[in-house]
Amino acid sequence: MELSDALALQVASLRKVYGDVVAVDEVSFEVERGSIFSIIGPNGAGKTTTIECIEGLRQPDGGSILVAGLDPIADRAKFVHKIGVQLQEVGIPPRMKAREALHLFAALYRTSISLSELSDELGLDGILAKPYGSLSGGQKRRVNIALALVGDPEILFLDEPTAGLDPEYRFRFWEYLRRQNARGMTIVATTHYLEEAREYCDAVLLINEGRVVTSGPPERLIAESGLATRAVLPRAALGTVGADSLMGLPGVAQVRSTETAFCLYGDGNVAGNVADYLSERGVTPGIIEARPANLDDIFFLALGNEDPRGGEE
Amino acid sequence: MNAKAIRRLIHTELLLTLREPAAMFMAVILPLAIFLALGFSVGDAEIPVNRETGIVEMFHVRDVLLAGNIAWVAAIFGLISLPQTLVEFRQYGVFRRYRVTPMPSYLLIIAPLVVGAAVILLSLALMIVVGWLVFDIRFAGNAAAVTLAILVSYLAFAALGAAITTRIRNVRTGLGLGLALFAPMFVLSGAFGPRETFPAALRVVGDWLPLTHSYDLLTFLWLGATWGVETTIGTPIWVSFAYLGAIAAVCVAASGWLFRWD
Repeated sequence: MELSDALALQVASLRKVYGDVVAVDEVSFEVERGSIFSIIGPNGAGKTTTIECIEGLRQPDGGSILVAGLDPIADRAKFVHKIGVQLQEVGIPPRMKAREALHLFAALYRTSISLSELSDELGLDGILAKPYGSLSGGQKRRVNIALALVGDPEILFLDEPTAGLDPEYRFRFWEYLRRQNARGMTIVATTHYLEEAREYCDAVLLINEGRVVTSGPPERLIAESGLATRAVLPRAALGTVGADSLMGLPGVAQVRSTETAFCLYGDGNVAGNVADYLSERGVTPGIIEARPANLDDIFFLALGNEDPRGGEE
Repeated sequence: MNAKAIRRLIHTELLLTLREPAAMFMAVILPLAIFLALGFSVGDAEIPVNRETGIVEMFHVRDVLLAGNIAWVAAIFGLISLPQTLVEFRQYGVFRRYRVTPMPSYLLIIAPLVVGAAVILLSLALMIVVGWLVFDIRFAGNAAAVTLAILVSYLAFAALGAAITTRIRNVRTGLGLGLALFAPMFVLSGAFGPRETFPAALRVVGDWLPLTHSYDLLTFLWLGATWGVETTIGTPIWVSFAYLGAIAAVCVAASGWLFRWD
């Protein structure tokens, strides 16, 4: 497999099996240099296994991986100088102070981002002098992110980086990553937070049960889905009209039912068409909320799950 | 891997060790306290020691206390402290974390090993200074030979400790195993009381324990005995040295084979 200069990462037919369980199955994708890429999917989808195979922490059972033109396991000596990694687990002895960990990690690399910059950007002031084991979950996460960044990597791998961070730090973190990205750093992150993927990522990969469901830029995924609009119709508003008839209405491509409402997805004036249809049958629907569909909608629809948000947001 | 990173790793490991009160108490305070207590209690009592085969010389008992103490300090660091550090690295995913950095994994074993050796020698130096000031102790051996014997002893204990805990992922379990190894060795080696008073069966068991060999090796070398002199085990000094070296080699090989980074 040859890696184009424009690609930071190329994964082809990646497969990883644990006993009888296929954790990752024929996953293929590419990440362009200088982009922010996110792997999204529900719990147990195979996100962590995928990213840890790419980091060289797990030996794949099939397929190939090239990171900046290097095989993560065969070319480890060069590979580790190009990457920064934040793992979900701890990785630091509890008695080690955050400052000591950062100094030690900085010494491992040829270049490094200064401790003061990381401290300012990630809000580490007041944390640095404390033993790692005494920090809260969110503080540990921020230290782990700093450790991933301190070597000023070419490609940064983050596994659920914002889990446990409060909204302020999530925002500061992503804004800082955006600036690092503008300097040329490629960023590959797994995340549960779809709004982050939508806001900050150039492209996403949606995986479920170890397989690729869809991938591409968030806006393109929405546009290509044919589900550009989402309208919410309260169940009570249907009156005597059968719910089955909603699916046949002009512009309505998918209907999802929840306990309190129907969510209708499609193109064009979905809400208007539904209102007209109900009015013609003597039912006054009241207010039908409609808005452009977003990545969350694509996520739930692609997984074939019910939208746990129901009609509420 | 650059020298700066190795220095920083050892520096950090040293800080972590100094920050561990139990380890520092066992390695520095306790041996010094025991040395002082026993030193005062034996007073000017003397023992006959073979310096060379057939040549017996009288030494003050207090002169040899220090050498015996450093044997069990090496055992504590090798059997308990170092394995605990490695188990902690396994438990908290430290080995795994460094696999995605330029740090070679073996340095994570070498660094605490080096720091342990440094603390053992520090403990020795402290006892020497105090012993010299308080008891005017006599050192009749060769400093290089004694240092080498301390390091070989420590390596044997460390390799044994690492081999025993190679699959352990829980610090408490690792500590329990280390203590289970150390306590009987401590009692049966003669560090706890004279082996001559033990039942024959216990003496035989003690003859095979590395701490007994380390204890005798260091005591005799401290007094300047030649390598061919027979120790309390009934074998020449060099046999104890070789025995500890063999334990180190076998356990390093076993650890290399069985070791789990995760």
